[in-house]
Order: sequence, then C-alpha cells, then structure tokens
Amino acid sequence: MPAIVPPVPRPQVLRILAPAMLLLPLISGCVAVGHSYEGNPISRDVLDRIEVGRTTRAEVLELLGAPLAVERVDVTGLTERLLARIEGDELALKLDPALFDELYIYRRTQTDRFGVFLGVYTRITSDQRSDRLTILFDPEGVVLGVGWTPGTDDL
Amino acid sequence: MSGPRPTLLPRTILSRAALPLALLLLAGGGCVTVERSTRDAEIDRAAVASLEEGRTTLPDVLALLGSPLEVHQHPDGTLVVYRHQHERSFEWSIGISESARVVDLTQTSAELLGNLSYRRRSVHIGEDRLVLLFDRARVLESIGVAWGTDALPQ
Repeated sequence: MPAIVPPVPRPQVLRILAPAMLLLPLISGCVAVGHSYEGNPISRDVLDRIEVGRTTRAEVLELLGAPLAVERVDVTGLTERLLARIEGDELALKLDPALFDELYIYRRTQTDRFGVFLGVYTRITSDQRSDRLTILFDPEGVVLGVGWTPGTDDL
Repeated sequence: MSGPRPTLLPRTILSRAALPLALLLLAGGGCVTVERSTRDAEIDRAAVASLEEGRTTLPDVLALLGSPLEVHQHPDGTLVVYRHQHERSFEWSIGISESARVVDLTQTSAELLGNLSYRRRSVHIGEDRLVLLFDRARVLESIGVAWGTDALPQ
C-alpha cells in the first residue's frame, strides 16, 4: 500500500509563494549590449609608412584616402578683406608661409553600450572612444607632424 | 536547540533594502536607474606637465599627446583641444498610478492619480580639458588645462 503524504498546510505554501510572487517582477529582466561605429577604420600598418619630413600630401591621400576634415587658414577670405580696404592699382602681399599649413583629420568612433534591466533596477554604461589621426603638413605639402590616438584600444 | 534561521541574504542588507523595496512595491510603480558614460581617451597628465610655453612645438604636441579632438587654424596661430569626459547619473522614481490601474477596475483613481509621481535625478559631469594655443611659428604660446573629472563624487 503506498504511503500517504500529508498535504502541506496552506499557510506554509503561502509563506513560500507570497515572497516569490513579490520578487518575480524584481528578478525578471534583460541585458542589452550595443556597439556602434562611425567613420572608416584607420589602418595601423599604413601609419608606419608615414614619415615626418618625407611623406607628401599626395602620398598620405593615396595611403589613407580622403580625410574626414581638412583644417587650413582661410587665406582667400583674409586677402579679400585686405583688398576691400586698399585703394589704388597695385598691391603686394607678403604672406607668412605658416598660413599655408594644412591639417588632415581622420577619425573612427566606436561606442559600446551595456544595459541591465532587472525589475525596477536599470543600469546603463556607455563608453565612446575614437581612433584619431591628425597629420600636419608644411606649406610645401610635406608631413611636419603626426598625432595618433588609438582610443578604441581602451574598449 | 535550534540556531537562527538561515537567510538567502545577510540580515543587514535585507533590513536596509526593506523600506525602499516595500515603498516601491506598495506604490506599484517606480524604478532606479544608474548610468555611467565616458567619452574620449584620457589625457596623459605627465605629457601635459612636460609641455613648455615658448619651446614645445605643434609637431611635438602631436607626438606626445596624440591627435587632438579639435583643431582650429587662425591667421594668428593654431588652437588645439583635447577632452575626456565622465558622466554619472542616478535616478529614482516612484508613482502609484500603475497599482491603482490594477486594483481599480473603473480606472477612475488611475486617471486621478496618473500624474502623481515623484522623480529625482542627479547628474554629475566631469570633463578634463586641455586647450593649447600655438603661434604662427607653431610654437606653444599658452596652455589652458582643467581636470574636471577629479571633482566627480566616487
């Protein structure tokens, strides 16, 4: 004859179930991970081939492609403003060669996001880093300086 | 003889968490949100300390500190900017409209209490900033630095 298991008293069931029911909304949740990228990757092998005092603007363009931005002094605007003030037929301008310095800027940005959504608790972390490359050219179009920040290495 | 009943969490944590948890559950609506975000690489403080006005050049700075975040070319010189930013925020809110919606089938109290909620958010943003001004000969003219992330609460 099988043994008869005595039923669990109702208050004891409630004692176990009630806290579990209350905790249920707190322990249900999800985790979200996201990565986003902006800009073209900058090849590190190419960086080794850029030499200060030797590599030219044309070579940089060939190696790295079109930069994200080019920074230069607005010389045209400067001379136009000067010309507007000059009266007469002839004008000789002597411009500082440094005015023709040019900077090429390359950038690749990565953003990592991590979110934990657990019941009433939410924790979100976000890290944005960018690999940045700035190349300074002298007025002759030869590399004068290189700035490289491998920011995404920290991610 | 029986000892103290074992619990899943230490008693101190339970007692500390009990009141906010009970309030949240009673209210039926509420949440806690913690956010942390960082932007851009840290600025090398040792490299910044080695900069010398009237001596360090723009190519030196590019080699020492890497690529700046911003570059502005002006007729009288070049301005470069480095930044590193930390943001921390903590938010908690409590509202009773959700529980009212479940309990009150007529939805009258839910409508009445719909706007009754409390939200508190604190945001701390710290930014390390380095601004360098170079003259037309590409020599460092002046340095502006602010270590804003030092002031952030831990």
